[in-house]
Amino acid sequence: MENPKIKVDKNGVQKKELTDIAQDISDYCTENYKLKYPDINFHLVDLETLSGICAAHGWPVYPETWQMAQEYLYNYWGHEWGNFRVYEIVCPAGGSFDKDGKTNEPLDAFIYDIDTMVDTKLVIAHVYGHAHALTNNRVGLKGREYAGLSSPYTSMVEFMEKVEDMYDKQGLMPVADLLDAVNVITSLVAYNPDFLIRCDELFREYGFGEQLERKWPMWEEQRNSVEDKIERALEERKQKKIVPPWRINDIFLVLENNPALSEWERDIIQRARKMNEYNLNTVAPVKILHEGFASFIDMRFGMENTKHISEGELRKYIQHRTDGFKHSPRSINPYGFGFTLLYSIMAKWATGSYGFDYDLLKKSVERQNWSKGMDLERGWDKVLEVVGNSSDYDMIQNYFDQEYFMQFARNFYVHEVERWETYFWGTWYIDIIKSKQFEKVKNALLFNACNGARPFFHINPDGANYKGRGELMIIHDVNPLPQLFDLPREALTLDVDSVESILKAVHYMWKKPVHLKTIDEYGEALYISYNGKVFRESPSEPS
Amino acid sequence: MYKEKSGQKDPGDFIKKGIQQLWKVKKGKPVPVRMPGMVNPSARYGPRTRQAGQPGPGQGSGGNQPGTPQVGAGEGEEGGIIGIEPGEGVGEGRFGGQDGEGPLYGELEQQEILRYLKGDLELEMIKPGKLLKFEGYSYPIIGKYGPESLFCLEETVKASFLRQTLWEPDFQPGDLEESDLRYRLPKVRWREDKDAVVIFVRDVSGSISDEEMKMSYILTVLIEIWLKDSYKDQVRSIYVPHNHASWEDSEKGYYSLISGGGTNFQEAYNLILNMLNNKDYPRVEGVEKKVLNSSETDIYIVHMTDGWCFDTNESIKSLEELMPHLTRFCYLETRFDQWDVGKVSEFQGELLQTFAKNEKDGSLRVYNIDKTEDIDEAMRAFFGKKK
Repeated sequence: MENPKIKVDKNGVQKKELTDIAQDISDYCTENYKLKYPDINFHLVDLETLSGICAAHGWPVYPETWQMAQEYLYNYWGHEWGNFRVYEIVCPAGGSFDKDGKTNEPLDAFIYDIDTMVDTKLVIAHVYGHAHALTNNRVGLKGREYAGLSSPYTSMVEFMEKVEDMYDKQGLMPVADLLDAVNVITSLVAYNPDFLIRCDELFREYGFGEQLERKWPMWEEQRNSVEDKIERALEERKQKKIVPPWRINDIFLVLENNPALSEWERDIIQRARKMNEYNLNTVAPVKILHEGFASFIDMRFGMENTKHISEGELRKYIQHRTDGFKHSPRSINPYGFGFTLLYSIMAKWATGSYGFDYDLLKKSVERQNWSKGMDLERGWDKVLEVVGNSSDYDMIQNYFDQEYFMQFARNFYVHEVERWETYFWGTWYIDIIKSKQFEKVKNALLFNACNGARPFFHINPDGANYKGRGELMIIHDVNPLPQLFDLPREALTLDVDSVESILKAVHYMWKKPVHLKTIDEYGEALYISYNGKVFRESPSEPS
Repeated sequence: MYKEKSGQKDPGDFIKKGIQQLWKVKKGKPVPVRMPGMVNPSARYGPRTRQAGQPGPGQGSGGNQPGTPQVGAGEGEEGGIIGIEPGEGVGEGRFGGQDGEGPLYGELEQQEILRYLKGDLELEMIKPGKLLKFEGYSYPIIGKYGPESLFCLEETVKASFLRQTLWEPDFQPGDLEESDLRYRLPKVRWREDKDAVVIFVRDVSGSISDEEMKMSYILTVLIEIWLKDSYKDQVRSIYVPHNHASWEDSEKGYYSLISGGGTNFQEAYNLILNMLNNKDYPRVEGVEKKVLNSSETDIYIVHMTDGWCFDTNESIKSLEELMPHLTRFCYLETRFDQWDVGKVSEFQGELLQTFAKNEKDGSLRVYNIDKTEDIDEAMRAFFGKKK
């Protein structure tokens, strides 16, 4: 395969010097770090444009909504006042390969123009890391398939044109409301399908009955044996008018097929949902891995490459980098966490500290002295394998072990809300450090990586024709989580604000009363209904 | 129009008000800045602070039900409370209610109240005042004739270039003719000047309860905040308590009054008439004599009473004299006593009968209040849009 071609431009005019430098860096990275990515176009942009692109989640084209304007202001002032700094942003579209290994759409990356030369060089290396992960990570690629877009860029342009067309024809508010409703309901769909497959056995154990994966078919052998059964069951249920005929995790599937929706509404919903899911599935499940790997690449490039980076420049750069690795008291920094995790993997595999023999060692002194001989290539290959095959959840599950914890994460802790105080502008939370033990920290990290710490929802068979009246019953799934992550069941209540907006948004699309089954603060079942005017809560099923 | 098309009562109903927080360095110290905005609340775990659909505190943003684990990093032992110093953790965005120092009072609280008055109560914005003040000169106009001191070289050179490129065969940079000379002409800039006086007339007779006094103080503060915002701080407050007699009090004195004595409204109205006519009137020591000019300033009177008085006819007569000078007369009648509920005082009946015209054009506003919680309704009645 040919080396990828790199271009750097500013306002559409190519910058020759920077293009040469970027091409050099790219050749170095593909040769020494075995990176594989398509052609990349870098664009130098000013603060206004950068804030606009940040507000549009990295897309150069995006339908105009009120959210975008608000995000723009937040990014702009945050940057101006030194709250944070966005060095680069990689467009999630593009970067796909042909069968022959040629690229059909180059990647677009936007770099902040005022950065110093050192920063620019290392940001370019950082982007190559992102590009590799974006085009090789299995989970991200599955997310792309899941959204089912052949060319994401074209789809976004079409979507934007469609929305603007509808703004003219239907008026601003109906379309804007619909987009908001889609945004709310997108959060009801789980974005980590791997986890769902893993939970299958648990679901069965706790008596949820059969379930069918719509877009994520089971393994081939399993599927063949089950398919006949399912088809037979399906026909029976169709005759009995059971809607939906099986348990459905994807709530959109039911809402889209609501006959009360007009055609333009259905069209907008389908497009908006696809774009939202694309944004979520390609980025959110692999956030720590992406940032960690990209930091690893620019770190290695800065340390090892004396041709492009002088010692004085390096010192300055390291100051910036370490600032970017800082954890905050309330959350873990994905850059620092991802980098150290991948670094520990590389160190282990480079020294051969893995495998059956190594696992049998119990004394820490023996473990430290264990070595099969230093082989950096072996370590780096392992890192590439992890980047190619894992999500955040997988990475933490497999590689966050005692040794990593002792070496890099001794200051991690689990914190919980102890109490909250209410003021007229909102609620204020006071947190308490609950534990600093390895198991607890790992469990909490896994819980937060599992579906982004968002709740799971589904619709049971016959849930879309509740009591034969065409009403909708949505179930909030709690069961596997307390067992999986060792949590109290009462902790998984839904936030009241979000319950209200979920029910309102679903009602906006369904146009008939909707119900939600969830749990209250004692872990007992709770039914919340909304008929378009008032909410009703009751511990028993709505009649 | 959009509402009809979408077929929904309240469009955008599933969006909530939210706050995003940033930090800004002022005088070497990081100061939190809250940016108001809208949040699209997605499905998330959180506490049940209230029942769905019931009024009450929202969650804001961030925060979880006790028991939901989150991971952080830093110093501290098990059982310790996580604190954060402002300015720490620069390098990532923060959201209100999630990180920070705790509630922020002072300036911000006043802004929140103003936002509430403007946004939720939809009070009417007050229009510019009566006077125009000289602000300065600007020189936007360019002419061929003018005084020597206003000669503009730049425009003259421009004109000569234009003439030469259009009409002359050879271009000579220094070639000026008399027709090229350009002068700038002045224009006066006027600023609309706002200036207002609020007179709080407080009935402190024996029939007034402590709760009513408290309520009146809250209303006073709210009105001052509202008018100071509209008139850009050029607002003077005058405090006139009265029972059978009337006097002007200081701000400190006004907020520590105790009720007692009989009730005469006429005394208070006459006192204000004396201010307008530049006559002497009773006042507490340390308070300066005020002279009002209704042609230059907007005059607001807020009269807070329970309505029981012994001089209805006389006071209405004084008020007839006073009314033409006023921008607005706000009359608040308290009915906290259970015997008063549902009744209208004799004075109020007379007031509405005599000044029916003023009530129509909005310069007379009347509100009857039963409990302290209705104070925002009183604000809406006094400064809201005319129905």
